[in-house]
This record gives sequence, C-alpha cells and structure tokens, in this order.
Amino acid sequence: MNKIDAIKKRTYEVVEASKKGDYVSKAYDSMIFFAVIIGLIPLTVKVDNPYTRLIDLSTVVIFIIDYILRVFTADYKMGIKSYKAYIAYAFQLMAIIDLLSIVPIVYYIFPHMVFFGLFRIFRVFRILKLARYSKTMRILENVIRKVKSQLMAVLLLTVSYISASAMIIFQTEPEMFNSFFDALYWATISITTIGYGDISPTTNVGRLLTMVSALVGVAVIALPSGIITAAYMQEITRKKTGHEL
Amino acid sequence: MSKFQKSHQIVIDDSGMRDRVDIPGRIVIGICSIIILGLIYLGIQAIIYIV
Repeated sequence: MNKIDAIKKRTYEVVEASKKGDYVSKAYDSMIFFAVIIGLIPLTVKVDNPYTRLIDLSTVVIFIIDYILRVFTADYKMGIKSYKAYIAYAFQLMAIIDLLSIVPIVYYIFPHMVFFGLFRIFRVFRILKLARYSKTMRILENVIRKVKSQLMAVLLLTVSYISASAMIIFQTEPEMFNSFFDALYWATISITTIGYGDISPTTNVGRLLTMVSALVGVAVIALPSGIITAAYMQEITRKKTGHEL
Repeated sequence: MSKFQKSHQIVIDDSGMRDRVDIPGRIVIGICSIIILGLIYLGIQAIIYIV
C-alpha cells in the first residue's frame, strides 16, 4: 500500500462512523454532529442576523469539505478500486443528502439571484446526515429497503384512490373547486383524516365520498405503519438470534 | 481476575489507545475541537441575538 492509499484508508476510517477507541474519528463525528445541530438555528429565524449568516457559511464550508473527503474515499466505501466507485457513490442516498446539504452555497455565491434563495430550504436535509451515526437509524434504513415493494404498492394504491376521488368530487361539485389541484388537496386532506374543513362538500354524493375517504384513510394510514413495524420486529429478532448464536 | 487486576487492565488498555493517536490525528482532534467550540459560540450568540 503506497502512502496516498494509506492516507485515503485512514481518511475513510475517520469520516465514517467511529469505531470503538478511534478518538480521531469520534472527534470528526462530533464536529459533524454539532455542525448539523447548530446549522439548523438559522432555519428558526424569520430575518437573518450576522451570527446566523456566519453559522450558515461556516456549516456549508464544513459540509463541502466533508463531501469532498467522502468522494475522495468513495472507492473504499464502495469496495471497488475503479472510477466506477466514484460514480456509484454519487447516486447513494446518503451521498445525495450530503450534496443537498451543501446546495445552499449557491445562494452565497449569487446573493442577488432571488431564485437561489429557495435552495436555502435544502438546509433541512442536513438533519438526515445524523442517520449515518445512529445504529437504530441504520436498522430502520435496512427495514425500509426490505419492505420497499410493499410500501410502493401502498403508495400506488393511495395515489390511485386520491386521484380517483379528486376526479369524482371535481365532477360532482365543480363550483367548490377553483382547479383540479384544489380537488387533489381536498382528497389528500380527507384520506389522511386531517380534515381542515376549508373545503367541504355540500352535495350528498360529495359527502358520501368524504365518508368513504375517511374510512379508506384509516386503513391506508395504518398499512405502512404495520408493514414497517412487522419488518422492524423481524429484524430485531434476527439480530438478537444472531448474537445468541 | 481480581478487582485490582481488572482496573489495572483498563488503565493499560486506555493508555494504549491514547498512544495510537499519532501526531496528524492529534492535529485533527485539535482542529475539530476548535471548530466545535466556534460553532457552540456562534450558536449561543445567535440565540442571544434572537431572544
């Protein structure tokens, strides 16, 4: 192993979640943890002040360096010694989150472009960076990956039902809605049983549809929770059995 | 292993770990600590400014 490879390997160990006894990696993880938590403060104020601007700028710089280090060590992460590792790494979920968390820098480079101000909302993605350091979050990620197809089926079912009920209500009560988007909004609010009440049906057909939506909503909302809980319990039991063996 | 031996073992392991942190490692720990302190300072100042 040449010197550059040795540096790369050590950098990889440092930027990844720390192992027992690796104080350098622990210090790096703590720095990222504080950068994520303190980096959220600017999102809690309406008008920026000099300190929030400084927090924004310093955390973005930290995350850019973190992203560069992670890309630099992508071959170790992916386990392939090839340029393909860097390309494959860029499409990993955590790599996308890392990239989104540094997007707000565009606003600082072009402060006069109002549109780029929208990118600042991506700062909220930084909180997902913490998932990398939590064992429980990693289990949850595995669980969601395992039941992906079932969740997609539930999502498809929900989207189909929302679209269908929005179309029916839009046709039966056209005076109630300014656009089809309003109908979609009403359907989503009804199926999730939130029911703000800002748009409410007046005809019998509309009211019947609302009742059906509320009942379907109870089942649809419960389904993903049940799927995830069952898979999570299965994963925990599997891990426990593995430890005992 | 007696209670004394156990505690002695921990001390040896602990110092061993500390020895493994090389000079660049110590520099990284130092930089990270300074950044953490700086961020905490900025966070506190920002909260004071808001309040």
